[in-house]
Amino acid sequence: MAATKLPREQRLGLVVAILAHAGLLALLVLEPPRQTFAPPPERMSVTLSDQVGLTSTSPEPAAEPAPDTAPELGPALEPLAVVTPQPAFQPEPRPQPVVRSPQPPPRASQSPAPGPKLRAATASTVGSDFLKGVPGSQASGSAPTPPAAATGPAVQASLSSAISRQLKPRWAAPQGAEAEKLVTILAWSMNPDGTLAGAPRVVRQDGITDANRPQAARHAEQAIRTVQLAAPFDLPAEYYDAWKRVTSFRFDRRLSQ
Amino acid sequence: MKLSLVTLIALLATPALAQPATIPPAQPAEESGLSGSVSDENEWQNLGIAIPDFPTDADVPTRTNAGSTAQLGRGLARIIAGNLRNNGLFKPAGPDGLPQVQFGEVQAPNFPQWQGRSAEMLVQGSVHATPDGQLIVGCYLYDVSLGQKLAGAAWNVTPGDWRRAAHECSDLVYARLSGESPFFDSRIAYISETGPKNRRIKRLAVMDSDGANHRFLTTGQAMALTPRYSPDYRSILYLSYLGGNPRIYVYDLASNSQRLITQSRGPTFAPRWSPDGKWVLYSMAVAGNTDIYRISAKGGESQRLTSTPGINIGGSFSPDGSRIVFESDRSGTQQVYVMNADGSNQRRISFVGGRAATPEWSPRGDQIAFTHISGNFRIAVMSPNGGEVRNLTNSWQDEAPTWAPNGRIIQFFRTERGSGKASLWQVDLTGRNERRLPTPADASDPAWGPIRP
Repeated sequence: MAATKLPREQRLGLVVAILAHAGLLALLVLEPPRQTFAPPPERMSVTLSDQVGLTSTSPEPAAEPAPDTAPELGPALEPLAVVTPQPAFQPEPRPQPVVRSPQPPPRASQSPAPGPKLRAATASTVGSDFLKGVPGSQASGSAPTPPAAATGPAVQASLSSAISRQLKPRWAAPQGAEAEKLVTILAWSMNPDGTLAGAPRVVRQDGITDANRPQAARHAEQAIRTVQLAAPFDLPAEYYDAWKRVTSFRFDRRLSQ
Repeated sequence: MKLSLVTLIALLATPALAQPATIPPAQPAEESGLSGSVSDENEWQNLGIAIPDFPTDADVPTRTNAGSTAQLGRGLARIIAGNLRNNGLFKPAGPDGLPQVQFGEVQAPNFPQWQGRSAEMLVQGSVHATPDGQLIVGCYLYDVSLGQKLAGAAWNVTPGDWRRAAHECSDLVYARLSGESPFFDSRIAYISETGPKNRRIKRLAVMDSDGANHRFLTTGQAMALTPRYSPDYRSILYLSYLGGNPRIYVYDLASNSQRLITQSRGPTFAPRWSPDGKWVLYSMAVAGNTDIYRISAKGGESQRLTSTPGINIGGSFSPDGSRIVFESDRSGTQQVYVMNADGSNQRRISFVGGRAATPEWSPRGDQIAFTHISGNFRIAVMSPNGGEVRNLTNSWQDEAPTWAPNGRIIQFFRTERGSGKASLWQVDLTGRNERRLPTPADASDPAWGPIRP
């Protein structure tokens, strides 16, 4: 009854409000759930490495010496054949320029013979000191492997992994109770051709327990055998100074999973 | 004053002088060299060993069951290959399918011929018959890849003992390549079981570690249980129901006679030798209470070691003879306890889930094997202070562990679910290598003797 007392505008407004609320409710209920997942942050891979140098080192121990000769070197040419006639012309008296015209034929007949030589030899006509100022041109270059001032950590790491790669197929740790805890650390020296200089030496052994003590000597023996079988090592000769001595190489066992 | 000052300077100077002299050779080398690492990431690889026939210098008849010396050489290689094949460390090849070795090659192998094969190691040996009928068997182990001799030995054996030469050779190879002590040249006593389930005939039997030279010692009229070899292999302790009473007897192997270890009021069982063979431990049940006793192997008065209510049973000496590990239910369930050899200082060491029974101290002293009962019966080991418990087997019913002489392999018996058939099995300490020991009939209660003298 109270509603009837309300003015018409209010009743109309009330109806509109009720309809609007009902519409809103229907919208909220019927609306399909929206995908509201926030996009996952971009994955970033972080590498923790101790293989960084405090000083910047060149990946190469010494820059390749620049060639001290031209890339193309033709056969030696007698430059005199061309140069000597010129002084002969100069003293010629000027008053006879007209007379010179018959002379080119003899010159042309001379030139065909040195012609090809001349073209091939053009590079060598550059002065022998044309390389001055090119870096490395002043290096003596007599030694095939100039001593490196410092080998970068990257080079050392890749040399280590090259050795590890060559040892791996040969390395089999002995079996036994707790034998997987054993670690043998070896040192050895190598000749420039990759062969062993003397027998590998045990630096120390870790992980020895009462249970695996009987296998410890066998573990070291197997590690030495591995190095002996893997030699001669195939390593880049220019880095011989970096790999000629291996001071601590670790032999252990770890399952790949 | 001056003198003391000089001494002081000398004292200060000496280390300073000594150090530069010793360190420089080592230190620069340490700094300038390369370092790295290599890991073995493969599954355990069994080592390939080639074992060709053992050649002989002259093929003559022998007084063995193997035949002539050449046939003996083949038999020896077969036994060695069989021994090494069965413990999971090695992958022996031969003697079948391998090239014949000339007698002169035995000590100077033709390495290029073997390097083409997958074997990394090579075992070569020789057989020589002496005019008086004895045999000389040589055995040499070579590293094929390196072309090096690793070990070698020769034995003078009587014809009846020719298999022992093969076991000695297996021991030489095993010890050299595994780092462990040898164990093949040993014997095993066990209980052979035949007949239906409710009327089993249980007989005492002995055999070599590979199952050869098998022999029954008792006829089966009286039930036999729990044998133990004496450390000198002269006698066997075992439990016999002779006359209906379970009593412990000592069986003398030389005279094939037996005697009671002690005249007792109640039943006696679970006999064990001390490592020196001078003492015998046994358990005796009196009025529902079982305790452990000690008696001299020669006889005499028994000494009671335990006195708590309940069941105390199955003592096993530590290798030095100073302590005894045993099983007791004084805490409510079966658990493993340790006491001194005179019975003092008894304390519990096992705190595993479930029960722990039949403890056996390793001949190396570093482990105690026991039957771990939690649902299934499993063979497990722990350290002598009760830590580091590891289950080695996982079957329905594995029990009664006994150690190989080197303390690296455990022998036990496994009962099949349903059929109740029992057989002897071995497992190594890693738990990876299990194998069944061949026996003519069902078998239980194994006891591994020490290395033969």
